This record gives sequence, C-alpha cells and structure tokens, in this order.
Amino acid sequence: MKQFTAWVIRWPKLTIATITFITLLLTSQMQHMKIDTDTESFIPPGHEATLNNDRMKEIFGTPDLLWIGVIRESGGIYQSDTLRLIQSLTEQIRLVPGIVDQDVVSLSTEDNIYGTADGMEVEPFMERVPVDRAGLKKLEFALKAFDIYDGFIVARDGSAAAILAELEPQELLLGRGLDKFAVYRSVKSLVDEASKSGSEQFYVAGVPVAEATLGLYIQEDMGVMLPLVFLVLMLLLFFTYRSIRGVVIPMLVVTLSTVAALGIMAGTGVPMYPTGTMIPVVLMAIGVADAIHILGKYYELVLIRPDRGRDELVSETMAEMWQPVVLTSLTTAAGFLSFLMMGMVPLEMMGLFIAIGILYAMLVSLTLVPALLCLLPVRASKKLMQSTKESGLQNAGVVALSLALVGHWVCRNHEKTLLLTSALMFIAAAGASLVYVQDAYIANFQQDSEIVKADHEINRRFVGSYQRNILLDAKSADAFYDPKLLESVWAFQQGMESVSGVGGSISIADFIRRMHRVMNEEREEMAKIPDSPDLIAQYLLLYSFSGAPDDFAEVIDSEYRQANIRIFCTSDNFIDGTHVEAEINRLAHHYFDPIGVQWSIAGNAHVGHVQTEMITDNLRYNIMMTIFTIFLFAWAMMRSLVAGLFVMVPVLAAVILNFAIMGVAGVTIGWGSSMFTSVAICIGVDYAIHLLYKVRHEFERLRDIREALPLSLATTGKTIFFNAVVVVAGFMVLLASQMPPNQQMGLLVSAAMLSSFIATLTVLPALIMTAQPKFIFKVDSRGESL
Amino acid sequence: MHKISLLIFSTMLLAAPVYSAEPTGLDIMRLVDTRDDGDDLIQKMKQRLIDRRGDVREREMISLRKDYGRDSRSITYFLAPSNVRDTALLTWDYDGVEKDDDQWLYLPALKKVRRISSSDRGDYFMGTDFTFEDIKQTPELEDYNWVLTGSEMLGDQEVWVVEGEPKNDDLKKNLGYAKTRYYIRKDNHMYIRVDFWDRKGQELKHLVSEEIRQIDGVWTAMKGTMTNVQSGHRTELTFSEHRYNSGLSDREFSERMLKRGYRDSGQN
Repeated sequence: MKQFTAWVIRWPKLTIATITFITLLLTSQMQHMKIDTDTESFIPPGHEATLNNDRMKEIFGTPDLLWIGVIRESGGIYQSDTLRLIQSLTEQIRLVPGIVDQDVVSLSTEDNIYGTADGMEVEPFMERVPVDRAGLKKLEFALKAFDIYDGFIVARDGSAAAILAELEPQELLLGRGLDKFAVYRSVKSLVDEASKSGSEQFYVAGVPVAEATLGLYIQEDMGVMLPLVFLVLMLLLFFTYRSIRGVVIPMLVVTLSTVAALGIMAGTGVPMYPTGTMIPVVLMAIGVADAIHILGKYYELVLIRPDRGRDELVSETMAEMWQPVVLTSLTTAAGFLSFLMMGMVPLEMMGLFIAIGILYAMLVSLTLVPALLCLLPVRASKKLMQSTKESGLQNAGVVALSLALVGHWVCRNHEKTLLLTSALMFIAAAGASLVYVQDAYIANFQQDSEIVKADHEINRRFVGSYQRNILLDAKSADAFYDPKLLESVWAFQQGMESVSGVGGSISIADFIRRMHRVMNEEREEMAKIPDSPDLIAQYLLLYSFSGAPDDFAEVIDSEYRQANIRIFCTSDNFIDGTHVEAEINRLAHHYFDPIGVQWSIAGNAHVGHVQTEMITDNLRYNIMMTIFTIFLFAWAMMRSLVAGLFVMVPVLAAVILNFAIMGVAGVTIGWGSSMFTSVAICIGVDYAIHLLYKVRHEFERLRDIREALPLSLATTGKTIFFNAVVVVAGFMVLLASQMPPNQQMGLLVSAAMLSSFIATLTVLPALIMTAQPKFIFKVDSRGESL
Repeated sequence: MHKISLLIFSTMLLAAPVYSAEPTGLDIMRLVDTRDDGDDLIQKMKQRLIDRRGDVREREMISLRKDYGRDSRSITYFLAPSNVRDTALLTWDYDGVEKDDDQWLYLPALKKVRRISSSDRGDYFMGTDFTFEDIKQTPELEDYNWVLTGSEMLGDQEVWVVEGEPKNDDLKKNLGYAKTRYYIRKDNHMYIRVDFWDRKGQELKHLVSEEIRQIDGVWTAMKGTMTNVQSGHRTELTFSEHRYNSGLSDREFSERMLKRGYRDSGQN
C-alpha cells in the first residue's frame, strides 16, 4: 500500500487522468438507462405467485385494466350531456394506438342481452344517447337489471360510469414503438381534454396508471433530488472546511462514484427500479465519508506541523488512513452486497450497485484524492492553527472542544453510560414491538396526489380496480358444463362478495345464470344455474353467437377444463389483503377441495400482496444477514472477535431505538421503511470502525486511555460528526421525493444516523473503558500490522 | 349540345374495352358479386376455432340455403359436439338495410323455439373470426370505394388486387375495418385471399380460401381460414358434401323444421 501511495504521489497527473478517463467511459453508458416499474418485478421469477400469474395470462389473457371514471355528483350520469360525453370519450379512447379497440368497455360499447315474451334481444345499451326522461330511465333500468355490468361499467348508485380499456400486450406495444407510459399519456390527455367541458369529474386509475406514474416520479425524483443532494453537500462541506478544496475533493469522489455506478448499471442492462432512486442518494451520502476522513486527517497533520512539505503530509495522511478507508468501504460494501440474498431483484440490484459505487469511491479516495492534495499548496485556517499551537488538537474549534468534554465525561462515568444505555434499550424494545406491516402500491404516492384521489374515487364507486383471480382446473375437458361445479363456483363467489374489501366478481357462472334468465322470459327466479349440462353447453354456444370469438377467453379456456374467477377488490393494502386472501383460502378449500378441483390464486392484487409479504419477511432475514456479514468482515479485518462485536454495538443500539420511534409514531413497515435498517447498519458501522482505529492509534502513542479517548473524540470524533451531519443532510433530501416510501426512508435513516453517531461517541468509549479489550490495550511490537 | 355529349360518351364506352385492358375495381367486385352460387345449397360445415395457444374447439353443422331473388333463407343444424346437437338456427335474410333479418333459434335442452334479434354486419358470425359481412359472398358493394391496384400472380393464379375502403367513418366503425384488399382470380372471379386493416390502420385479419373446385358446375371453396393477427385467434371453416340446386322446398325453412331437427332422408 505504501508503494501504491508513493506511486500516486509521484505521478499525480497521470493518476488523475486515468481515473477521469475510466469514469468518462462509464458515464457514456448512462444513455442506455431503462426504467422498470412493473409491479411484478419484485418477485423472483420462479415464485409460485409469478408462475400462477404467467399461467393466468397465458390461458385467460386478463391484462390489467385502465379504469376511466366519469363522475357526476349532481343528478348522476343518466343525463344526456354526460352520456354524450361518455360516448365520445369512449370512441376517442378506442382509437388510441396501443389500446385494444374491441376490448374497450363502457355503456356505449356493450350490448344488452335480455329476454322477451317469445325470445331474446341483443342490442346496444345505448345506440343513440336518449334525450327524454323515459329513454334515460329505460337505460338506467337496463343497466341495473344486468348484474354483470352493475357496479362494473356503472356505479351501483348511478353517480358514475366507467370506461374500461385494455392495453395491448407488452411485445405488441414495443413492436409499434410504444410503451405503457405513452399509451397512458395519450389516454390521459384525452381525458383531460374532456374534463374541460362540463359538470363531470374524471379519474383514471388502475395498475397501468400506477406503474406509469411511478416511472414518471422516478425520473422527476432523480431530476430534483440529485441536484439537491449535491447542493446540500457542497454547502455543508464549505461550512466545514471553508476552502475550495474541502468542497471540490469530496464532491469529486461522490460524483465520480455515482456516475460510475449508474454507468455500469446502464451498461450492463440493469433497469432503474423504484428502489434505484436510492442509489445516487446513498452513494453521495456514503461516498463523501472517505474523502472527509482523509481530509480530516490531512488537516489534523497540517495543524500540528504546518511547515512540512505537501508530499510528506499526503504520504503520512494516507499511511494512517488507508486502512480505515479500505476497511469501512469493504464492510459497508459487504453489508450492501448481503442484499443479494434477498431474492428480490429490485432490492438486489440496489444493494449491488451501491456496493459497486462504494468500492469505486474507495478507489477514487485512494488515488484521486492524494493526487489532488499533492498538486495543491498546503493551507489551513490561521485561527485554528493558532489555537492548536496554544492548547493542542482538543481545542481546535467548538466541536472538537465539546467532543473532548464528552470523552472526559464518559471516561469518568463509563459504567453509568452503559447502564443508562441498557435501560434505554429495554424500553426501546417494548416500543419496537409495536411496529407492524402495512403497505400498498398506491402508498408510493402522496395522499393528496391525483392518482391517490382517482384510486379512492374509483374504488369507492365501482367493484374495484385490484384483481385477484382464482384459477380452477377441473382436470377433464368439458368439466365446466357440470351444474354441480358451477353451483360451487357461484357459491364461492357469493361467499367472497360478502367479504369486506371485495367489490364484486365475475365468472362463467354469471354468464350462464344470465342466459338462463334471458331464455326464460326474464323471470327472476330463473337466474340460476340450470340442471342440464346440455342446456349449459347450448347457452354458452348461444352466448358465443353474440360476441367476439374470444369473449369468454377471460373466464374459461377452450376446453372448458379451466376457469378463472375474477374477484375485484377495492384496495391493495396489506392488512385488507391478508383478510381477503385468508377468506379465499378458506372458501376455496370448502367448495373446491371436496369435488377435486385444483385451485390457485393469481392477479395483480395477489402478486402485490405476496410481494409485501416477501419484503417484510425478508426484512428480519436481511437485517440478520447484514449484521452477520459486517461482523464477519470487521472480525476478519481487525483480526479480533471482540473488535467485530464492538463495532456492531452502537449501530444496533441506534436501530433498536429507531424501531421504537417507528412503533410509537405509528410508522408501518413497507418496502421503503424495511430497507432503512440495513442501510443504517451499513453506514453507521463505519463510525465505530474509524473511532476504534483512532483510539488504538492514540493509545499506542500515549499509553493512557484517559487521554487517548478524549483526543480521539476531538479529532476522529469531529470528523465522524461532520460525516454524520453530511449523511443526515443527504438523507433528509429524500424528503423532497414525491414517493412517501422514499421520504420515510430518508427520515428513518437520518434518525438512525444521528442516534448511531451519539452511540458511537458514548457507548463505544464506555465499552472500551469497561471491558478494556485486548485489541486496544495489548498493543505489542506487531501493533502497526493489525 | 346534348346529342354531342351523348355521342362522345357512347364512343368512349365502345372504345373503353380497347383502350383499357383492365376493368375498374367496382367492375371486378360486380363480377364477384354476380358469380353463380346456385339457387339453393346443402352443405356440411366444420368450424375449428383455434385460440392463440393452439387449443381447438370444433363444431360441425349442416346448413341449407335457398335464394328468393335478392333475399335468401337458411337453416343450420348443429351435429357436434354432442351436447349441442340439434341446436338449430333459422334465418330469413332480406336484401338491403331497411328490413331487419328474422332469426329463430331452437335449443333442444330447453325444447323451445326463441326468436332472436338479428346481428349487425360487423358482429362476429357464430363466435368465429368471420363477421357477418365477411361470410357473405361479397360485401355491400355500394358502401365501399373500390380501387384496382394491380394484377399479380398469387400462388399459381393470376389475380386482380382490389382495395375497398368503407365510404365514411360510421361505416368503418360498424364494419370494424378501415381498408380491405381482395385478391380475385381472373378465371373464375373467386377471391382467394382478403386482408383487413382495423380503424387505426393496423393489420387486423386475413382470410385465405383454399381447395377451390367446381361442384355441380359451381365454383366452390372447400376451406377458408380467417386469422386475427392481433388476438392470435383463428377460425378454419371446411365445407363438404355440397349439393347445389337440389330444389329445396320452402317448408325446409320453417319453425316446424327447426324443432324437428335435421334428417338426411327428409331431403330426397
């Protein structure tokens, strides 16, 4: 390492050129960046929920629906002007490229099938918009009587109508040079245009909207947050060092490592997931630490011996700093790499590229930083030099002075400190037990945002935009002509529709019941499953005459062996979902197991539910993995088990405290808040490592722990303080994100860093005083090698 | 003046075959429309509905048709699958749009004849990929602008290529097409391929007619396959046991026959 540093000091310009060249090369890859907000991307490819969902799409199509809600509060939608608007908007949407013309459903596209005294009529609900009272009443009555559509294309209370649109499959869209975002934007602009005219409100909801909006947010977030983090960091650095180099050098490290990580990400074809927005922010907050510590040491040396040559200063700085820089970078990187064991691609990729960025920051810190310092003249604050000269490093500034005082106090009261901490942890554990899991895809958006409002309005008035699908496999062809099986399906649906959070359901049984009633003069008592399998077959044949060849494709397969029960849910939050899924399981066991019909659950709401379950289940596992990985690394690199343990203590205390705050404040665990622990541990552990190194270094020199500790706090402690301030400020920037999970994460990590900083400067010294560990006190002749 | 223009017009009319070797698009479609398809017909039809995964549903039926000038009547009996056997559909088809067609349906398991409303031209025919417009011998000629775009060889046949565009947006919406393209054999005026584009100008379907032969002196396609390239669904119709001009009586196309079901012996 010494030779490496010597080489850097000898060839500073070449070093700078090399690093710049490599980084520019990586930056050029960033133009290939893709964005992926697919709701399913969190679930590993081989998972049962994904397999079921793939099977469902393969057999039944069942794409995610775009819900366009037209609401008229005063007098309802059965008014001529509103109906005309619905009709024209429907027509416009049908012509949007990427929307399946034939599969746009609204009260102006659908046929009414009804029975007459001697037969059956199939005619559009609304061929022409009715202009008189009688006509409007007739339309309202017809829709109410058609229970498959009631609540689906019109709200049950008549206050709203829906236009449902299907997007073409992804491959087809790409073939036309389109994507979900573009299609959504086209539909949205038509809706916006329509909403200018009258007394109706318009809302657009559904999974494609959420995915498209999230994609937009990601882009906007990056645009806002990156410059903001940049600005905050620059300001902080300037106030810390009051010099250009104090700003430029750390900023170079974070900028280079961030663009390198994102460049590698884009170059290797890994898309930007919602979690990906975290990467630059985390990197900026962490990457700056290496440079801060190197600069901290550099200025410390400058203050002691301002007269020395710059090469000598840089050489000594690096000699003392390369170990903690490498060690902290490796442990933090290892901690983030433990994300790779989570089994969820977006989280894995976030961990991987943060780790890559950290290692790149380490490389830049060990090369570019000393190279730059060699080229710059030695300079330091005159005031600080003066005070250092008079009364030593411990009095170099207010921060150093107060931290030294803290050090002295802890030295005298180390047992008290530990006792106090233990008591606090005990209370905190009780608070932490209050934390529970709650999440929803829609929770990615702010409460007052348009999309949340649309989601709320549409799910309040219609059957629900979140689908769970029960896939039935009866094992033999034509099984679904069997009246008994259809009765079971119907009974299952009835059971499900009484569950709170379920707005409605559709299956093949609905169509057969409808047909039976139609063919029996609309007598209400005939809305049931007929007893004869042949009649069922004939009804389905007849029904198929009135529609497209793949009309039933969404509810039954060609062989009549497999069926799809579509359950519409009004929310996708985790707690409601748990209840609905439990009921599905209970009722499916009850109705389908005895008759030997195999069933499984699929659908966007189910996938989302499983995803949240996985993330939160993974949470505990991931925290364990992160702790264990970092502990192993610290142990191996410091060659001391006790040192490994010591490093973990402050940050663990901080994390427990944070869970307590979450529990008391009612912050729930979702995908954003679940990651904070691991991120906090990864970053916080660095503080302890830096301090331990320093204490050992000073103890070796001074041979008195009561002097070494306060001095370490005054110097490295000061740097840790700056570091913590920078990280907290960096994460606070996440509050500017449009996504609540990011905001939560920013707040939680900031809080964890603050408590972690306090714990490092109090609990850790107290532990050292109390336990008198060998790795500090038994410094022998091998001392330096570690 | 009037006489002169008439003279010029007649001269042009006479000279036309000499100067332009090719007829217009509309001329060709008229040839297709007036092609002899018999005065009545009995034929078996097999429908194979194939979804995008390759799963197949099959139906077999026998259908009888009789022309009444521009009007016609037809009756179709389902033979298979067995659970829909004897389901039957009777249609009285009236030329033009003024009068709706009459349709009756018999479901054997219900044992009732029910009158059902007629379908629109753009509706799918019996849940196949063919619309009612597609299944006819020719579309309504006056609703399209026809343009002959050229002649070429398709397979081993010389064909005219005629493009038809529905005359207005309402027609396009009702039919579901913005454009159609017919490949018409020059020797017998049968189209052997039709391409369809949807209202957004995207390719929607194509129809291929195969195994074209003369039966009882009438040119007949034994097989037609309509593929929807957007949904991946396709329908194969195969025809057999044709009997043209066997002198079907009016009785065959009545409610009574609908209920009685198809008996082969009854035809002779």
